[in-house]
Amino acid sequence: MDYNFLIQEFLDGELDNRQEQELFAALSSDSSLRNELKQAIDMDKGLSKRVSAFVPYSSTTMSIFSRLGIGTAAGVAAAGTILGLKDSIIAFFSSNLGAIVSTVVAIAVTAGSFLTFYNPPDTNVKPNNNQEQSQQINSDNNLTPQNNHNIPGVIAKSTDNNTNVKVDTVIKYITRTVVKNRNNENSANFLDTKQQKEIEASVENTELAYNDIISPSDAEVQSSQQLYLNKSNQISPLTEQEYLSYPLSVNSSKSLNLSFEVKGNGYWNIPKADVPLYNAPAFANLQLSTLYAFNDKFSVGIDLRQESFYQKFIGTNGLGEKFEYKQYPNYYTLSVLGRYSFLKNSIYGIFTQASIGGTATGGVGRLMLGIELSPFSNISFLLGIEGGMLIYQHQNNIFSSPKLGLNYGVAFNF
Amino acid sequence: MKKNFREYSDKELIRFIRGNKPDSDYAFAEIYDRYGMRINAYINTIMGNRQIAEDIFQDTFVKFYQKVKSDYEKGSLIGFLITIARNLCLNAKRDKMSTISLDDIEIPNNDKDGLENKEFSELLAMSLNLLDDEFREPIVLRYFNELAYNDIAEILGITPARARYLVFTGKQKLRSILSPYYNEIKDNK
Repeated sequence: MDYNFLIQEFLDGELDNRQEQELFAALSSDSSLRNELKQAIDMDKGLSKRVSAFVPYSSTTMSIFSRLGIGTAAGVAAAGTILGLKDSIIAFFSSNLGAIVSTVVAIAVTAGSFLTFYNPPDTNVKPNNNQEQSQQINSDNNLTPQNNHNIPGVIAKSTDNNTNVKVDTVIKYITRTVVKNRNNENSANFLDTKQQKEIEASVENTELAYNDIISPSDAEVQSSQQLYLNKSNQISPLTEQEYLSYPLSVNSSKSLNLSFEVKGNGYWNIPKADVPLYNAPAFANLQLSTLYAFNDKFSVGIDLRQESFYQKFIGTNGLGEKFEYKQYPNYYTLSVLGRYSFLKNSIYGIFTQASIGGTATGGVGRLMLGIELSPFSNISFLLGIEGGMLIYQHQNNIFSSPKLGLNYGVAFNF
Repeated sequence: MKKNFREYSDKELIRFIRGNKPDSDYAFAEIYDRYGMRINAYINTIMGNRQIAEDIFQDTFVKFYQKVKSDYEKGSLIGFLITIARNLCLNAKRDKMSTISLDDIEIPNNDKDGLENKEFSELLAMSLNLLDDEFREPIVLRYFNELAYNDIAEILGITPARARYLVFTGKQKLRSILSPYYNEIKDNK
């Protein structure tokens, strides 16, 4: 009997019961045969493991896919082990092509919007009373322009209820003329109700009033001083130059209070992804959001984005063997979000944002802290640090994929 | 709804490849992912020269992509791939008719192994390259490509019993080549 052949057949699972018993009986009494079995097992294991040393180079993979005219994303998905700097560079640009495209799009939209709408201040231009840029409020028909007069302070609240003005529109710049000999008048009467209605000048519940710092001795006529009404309903005087820096901006109360945001993002997975992206769509890491502003501070909205999550989890196969799975897919994520702004003025604001949503695989939650720059009323630029986490389930176990990154883009306000 | 191509069988992937892009691309990528390593192992071991093996490996998948739309009917997909690779290897050997010295043998490292396993693995690879093609090929198909004897027989054009015999005899020869290593281990114990 050739026991070596029986060992081979045993390892192949080809022995019947009788042959197995015969082999085991021989093994129990022959130490050299046991050694043969051990060597045979070692060799089988060694041969089977050898195959893992033959992972194709990613450059070879990319070459094959290139020859066949197959999309880069599919090629990268198939690229296994990445070896060498050249391979790494090729694979990086290939696998991140979608992210690069979307980042360029987001930056282009942001930069384009900025360059289109931003007009740098021209300090050589003198202020004027152009009706298109400002509304003139005359409290008296006997107005005499005069320069070099102290600008009166203005407070947001008046002590005189009669001067309450509830109108529909915010006008940031008001040209007013101060009249001589106003000491006989209640300062609050400075703004004529009729005129105010005509120009619809003020935010709702805002009361414009004159601060009584205009002394009789100061009661010379001022001409065309500009008032700036900021978002917190404070009116403050502006210098000539300041006035020129800020074009007229009118927020009609009939606005939709909606904003549409186009943003890009770049993330660092925690832990760092050590497998290539399974696919990289053209607009990877691009996101579109729509928000409705209940007021200056609080907004809610929905957010749709393409993004990647690195997933690393443990599972078992049908034989109970444990496996560690790693995948780096790209998902569509739909979320609802809430945003709260604080430390906000007309130019910038800090905001926090929380969102919750889901992908085809699991739920996604995020928190963001960011800054919003609003050089124009209709355009804002956003930059934030965002942390996100995908929660998913595999074989009744819960796993998470956290990541941290930058979020940047432009918001169009309607 | 996005497709997860890893969940599809070989036959379903072939159907995708015969369909439209981009699904055909992703299906091909999945087949490549599934069998690329094993085909690469086969070609490298049979040819024993990395540069030639790489060219053949590329040609194998290019030819597979071209032929699978029309020529592939049934049978195992890995068998179809091996047949293409084998024909290309035979052509290359016929063209070159060169002998390969030990210095030419590429021994890919497997860093996942421990030092002892790594040493054994390298010795095994070297020993495999010292075998005649008649024995090496069935062993590679059996252990690298995990084929059944029937499939090996079909690819090599022999009977399953002959395939079984060649694998067994090939392994005996490997053990014979590796006997100094085994003896050294035995002496050290």
